[in-house]
Amino acid sequence: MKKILLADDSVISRNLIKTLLIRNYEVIESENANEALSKSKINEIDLFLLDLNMPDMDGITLSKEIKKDPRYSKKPILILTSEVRDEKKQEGKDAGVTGWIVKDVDQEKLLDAINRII
Amino acid sequence: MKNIKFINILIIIFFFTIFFIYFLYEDRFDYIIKKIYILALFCFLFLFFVYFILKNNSDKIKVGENLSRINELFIYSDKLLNEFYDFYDKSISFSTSFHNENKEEYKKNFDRLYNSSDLFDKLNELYNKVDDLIASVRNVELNFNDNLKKSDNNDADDINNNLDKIVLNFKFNSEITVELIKSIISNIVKSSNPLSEGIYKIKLTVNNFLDNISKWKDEFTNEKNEKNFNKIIVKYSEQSDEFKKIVFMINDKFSNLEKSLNVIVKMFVEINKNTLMIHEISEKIRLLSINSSIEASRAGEAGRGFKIVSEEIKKLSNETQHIVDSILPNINESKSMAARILANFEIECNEIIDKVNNQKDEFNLFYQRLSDYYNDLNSILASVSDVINQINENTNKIIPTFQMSNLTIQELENLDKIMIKFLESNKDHMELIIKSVNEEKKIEILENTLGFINKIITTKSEVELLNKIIEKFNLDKNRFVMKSDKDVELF
Repeated sequence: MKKILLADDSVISRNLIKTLLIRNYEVIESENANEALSKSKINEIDLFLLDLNMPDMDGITLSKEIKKDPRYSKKPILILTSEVRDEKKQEGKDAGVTGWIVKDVDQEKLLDAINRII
Repeated sequence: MKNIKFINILIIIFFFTIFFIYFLYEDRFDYIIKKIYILALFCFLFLFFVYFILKNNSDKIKVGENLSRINELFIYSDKLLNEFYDFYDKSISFSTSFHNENKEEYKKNFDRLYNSSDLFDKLNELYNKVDDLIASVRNVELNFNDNLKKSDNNDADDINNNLDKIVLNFKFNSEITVELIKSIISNIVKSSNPLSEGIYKIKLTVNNFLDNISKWKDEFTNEKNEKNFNKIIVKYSEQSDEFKKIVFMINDKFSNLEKSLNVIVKMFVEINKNTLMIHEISEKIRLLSINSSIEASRAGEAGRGFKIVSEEIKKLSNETQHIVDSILPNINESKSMAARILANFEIECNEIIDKVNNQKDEFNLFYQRLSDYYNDLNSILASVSDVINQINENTNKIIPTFQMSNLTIQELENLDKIMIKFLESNKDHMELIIKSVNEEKKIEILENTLGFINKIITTKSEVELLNKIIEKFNLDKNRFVMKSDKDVELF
């Protein structure tokens, strides 16, 4: 089963996304950016799902740190957010982010998007 | 307010009138009357102050009461949130244990979840409490407005404006809170019905399945039951031995028959051979006899000896014939015997065939039983597969309701934060009672409140609600971050 790393400081948000994915993928959770980085080093992650607003580091900065690891330079990264400001999106694109997901996302749309890019 | 002030002035005038009368005419009063007079003065003074304080503070007390009620609502919503977390945890445990195929855990978690059912009632209660609060705030506002209109105080307008500000803040925050609660209740209703229906169906399916498994297990393991597989196998083994015996028996009989027939054949061959020999001999003798007679006739008197010999030979021939004749019955006897043997053999063969046929019927029955057994097993396996499919289908149906519950919890969490801010901001605003309020300030208060809410909310329905409020109050949309209307956007 392919592995997805899910980083979000909200337990509720993590459980929300995890419930949608658990049948098709192995979900590795982390409650902050630093924990996500540690877990990415000891696991072989196939896709990253990162919350945009986390206390220690935002999702875009975290995605830049992840991309520094040669194993993950081309791996897909999705940001969890409800923001749509163009400058934030451009920032994400420049950092190498693959896409944006709204948290109350429909299960089929999320799985379809992940299946396409994983 | 005017009436209160008029009464206050009257009381003051009355007090000072009594006071002056006492000092002017003190020397004319008796000692006791003086004491009564002083006591009356103090009573009036006391009553005056009590009346003044109570009247002016009554509305403040009401506002204070409303603040404490808001505090209670906050505590209540906090408790409700914890209950919802608990409900949510149970839902996730239930879902996870099903996916992990841990049957014991699954059954335990299913029972826990099934018994959590009163969240909707509690949320409704919360909604009613907030509704009551709004109604009382409106009453306070009306009361203040009425009193201010009746007052002739120059600061009435300022006080009225400050009061408006406080009440507006209450109103906005309460209305937003009520809308959020309504949305939460609506989500609960949307999710709880399919959730409880889905859970009920799964419970029913699982119960039926467990009942049937129990029944099938009894059927297949019960020693007395015809469908018992072990019984069928044992019977087959017995039949098999019986069948072997029959085969051996047939074999024996055929072997014996063959031997008997061989004997008879040999007998016939022998008899035939002997008969032929005898016949030959008989013929030879006859010929010889004829020749002898002829020669005897030729020889005349001298041939008399030949005649005797020929007659003797003739006798031998006759005896031989006699022997042949006696053999014939034996031949006939042999024929009869052979016929009898054949007849017996036919009977015995029929017996054997009957036995085999009987066995065949038994075997047919056996195979039929076995076939029935396997058919039953197939139906059981089909039913198991069906049950698993039903559970799968119902679980798929309730997964979106878990998602809905997740969203609802998220909204409750956000509401919790909003209510904290609501409480704090209203405490702050009470301090502004001495400052004046204009229209711009009203909008500023609302925008600040909505701006705070905007930062906290995360779900689509909350975003839609916020947009509606912004439109309703004709606020500047550019001050608020617009949220995405797409679920997934890939670059």
